Amino acid sequence: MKKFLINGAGLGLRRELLPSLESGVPDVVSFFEVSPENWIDIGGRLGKIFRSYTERHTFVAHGLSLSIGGPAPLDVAFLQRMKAFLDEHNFALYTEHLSFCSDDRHHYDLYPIPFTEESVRHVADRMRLAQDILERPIALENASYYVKPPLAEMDELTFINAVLTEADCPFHLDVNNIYVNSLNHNYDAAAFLKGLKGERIVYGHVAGHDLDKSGMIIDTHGQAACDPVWQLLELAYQTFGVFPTLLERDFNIPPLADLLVEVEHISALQHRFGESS
Amino acid sequence: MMAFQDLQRQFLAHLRNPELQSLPTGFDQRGVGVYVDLLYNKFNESLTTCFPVTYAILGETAWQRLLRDFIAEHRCLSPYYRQIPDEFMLYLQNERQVIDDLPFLPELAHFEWIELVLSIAEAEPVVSETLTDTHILDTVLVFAPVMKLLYYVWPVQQINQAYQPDEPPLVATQILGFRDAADQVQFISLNPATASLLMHLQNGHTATQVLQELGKDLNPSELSNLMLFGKDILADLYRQGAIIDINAN
Repeated sequence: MKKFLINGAGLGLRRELLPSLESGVPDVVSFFEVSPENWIDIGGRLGKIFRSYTERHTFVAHGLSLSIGGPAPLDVAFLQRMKAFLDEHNFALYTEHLSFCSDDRHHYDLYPIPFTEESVRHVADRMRLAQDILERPIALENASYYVKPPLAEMDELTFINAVLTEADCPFHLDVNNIYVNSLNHNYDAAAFLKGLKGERIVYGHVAGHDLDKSGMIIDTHGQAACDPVWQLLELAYQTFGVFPTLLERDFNIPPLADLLVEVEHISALQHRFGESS
Repeated sequence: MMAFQDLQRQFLAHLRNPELQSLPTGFDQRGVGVYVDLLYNKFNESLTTCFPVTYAILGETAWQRLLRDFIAEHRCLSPYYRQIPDEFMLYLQNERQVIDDLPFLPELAHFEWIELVLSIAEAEPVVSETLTDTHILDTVLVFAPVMKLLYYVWPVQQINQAYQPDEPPLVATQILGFRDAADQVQFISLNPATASLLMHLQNGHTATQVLQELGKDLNPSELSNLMLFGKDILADLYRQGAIIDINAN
C-alpha cells in the first residue's frame, strides 16, 4: 500500500488565482488545497467553478475551525457537514492545526494550546472522536504561535510528539511554522525539525511570512518562502524522505507564474531527494 | 474545568475586549497584542469587503468603534469564514443598541449583505423555459430559485457618502433581488403595486387570480388596464430572468 494518497508538489487554490488557471493547470501542480471553511455551502458561479476543479484534480482539505484543542465540546454538526463535504468532493486528505480557535464562539484565528499533560490527553481524546465522525484520519499540523501559553509542563517539541503518539494520527509538517516559531521563541529550527516524529509525516507545507511592527515574524503566507525555509524543507526530505508538499500563498498574491517557480522548487527538491511515492 | 481550559477562556476573552477583560498572568503582552491585531484584521478584511458602502459612510474611526463593539459583544457561532458577514448582520439587527448610530445602518448593511448571500446561495441550476403571455397570466409561475423580495424603510439603493437622509421617505423601498441564469445577481426596484403582485404570486396563485382579487373593486375598463399592467410587468420580469418557468401542476 502506498504511504501517500497524493504525490508531488501542490498549490493552495485561492479565488484570486482562478482567472489565471482558466486556460489550464500547469503539469507541475499535482494537487490543490483549500480550506473547507471557505468553500462549504458556496453555490452560484463560484460553487460551479470549485466543483469543476474538484472533479478534475486531486484536493487536500486544510481545516481551520475544528478547534481540536479548544475548551468547548467538539462541534458534531460541523464535523458531519465536513464529512459530507469531504466525501462530495472526494478530498484525498484532511488536515487541521494543532491549536484552538474557539470557546463559546469562533475567532477565525489559531491559538496555541498550553503544553500540558492534560491538554495532550484532551486533544488525543477529541482526535479519536473527530476521526470517528469523519470516518478518515486527520493529519495534525504543527502551528505557528506568537505567545507562549503559561502552565507549560513540557516544551513545544515534546508536546507535538506526545499528541501525535497519544492520538496515533498522521502528521502534517509545516516547515515555515518551525522557522517562524524558532525566530519568535528563540530555538534551533533544524534541531527541532530533526526531533519530530518523521515517520508520521504524510504531508508538508512551505510558505512565506512577514515581519510585524512588534518585531515578531508573522505566518501570513504573504511572501515567497525564504531561503532558510527552503533549507528546512531540504533537511526534512533528507531526514525523513520525500512527502507531498504544498506551497501556501494567502495574501499579497503574485501572478501565477511567480508561484509556479516556487512549486517547481518543491518538485525539484523532491526529485533530488527521491520521488514522492 | 481543567486549569488549561480556564486559561484558554480568559485568553480569548482578553483578545475580544482587551480594555475590559484582564489578561491572565504569565502571558507576554507583546505576543498577545499581535493576536488582538490579527483578530481585528481578520474581521475587518471580511467585513470591509462585504460592506464597502457602510464602511465609506462611517469612516475609519466610527467603523473601528463598531467593529470593536461587535468583536467584544457578539458570539460568532458559525465555523464558516464565509458567514462572518452573517454574524455581523445578526449583531446589527438584533443586538446592537447604540443610540447615536446612523438610523439607516442596519438596512443599508442588509442590502450590501444580501448581494453576497444571493451570489453564493446553493440552488439547482436555472433552466429558463419559453413562456407566452397566456402562460404568464394563467399558470402558476416559477421564479428564479435564488430570489428575495426586499423591503426597506430607508432608500438603501441611493444612500452613499453624499446622501444620508435623516428621515425615511414616505414610500418604502422595495426591491426584487435574484440570481439569473448566468449566475449574476440582479436588483430590480419595485413600485408598491408590483411588489404587492409579486408577494401574492408567491402563494401559488396565477397572475389572473391575483390581479382579479387586487382589482375586485374596479370597473371593467380599470380591471382590464390592471390586467395589462400586470402582464407587462411579469413579461418584463420574465425577460430579465426573475421568472423562469410555469408550474405544470
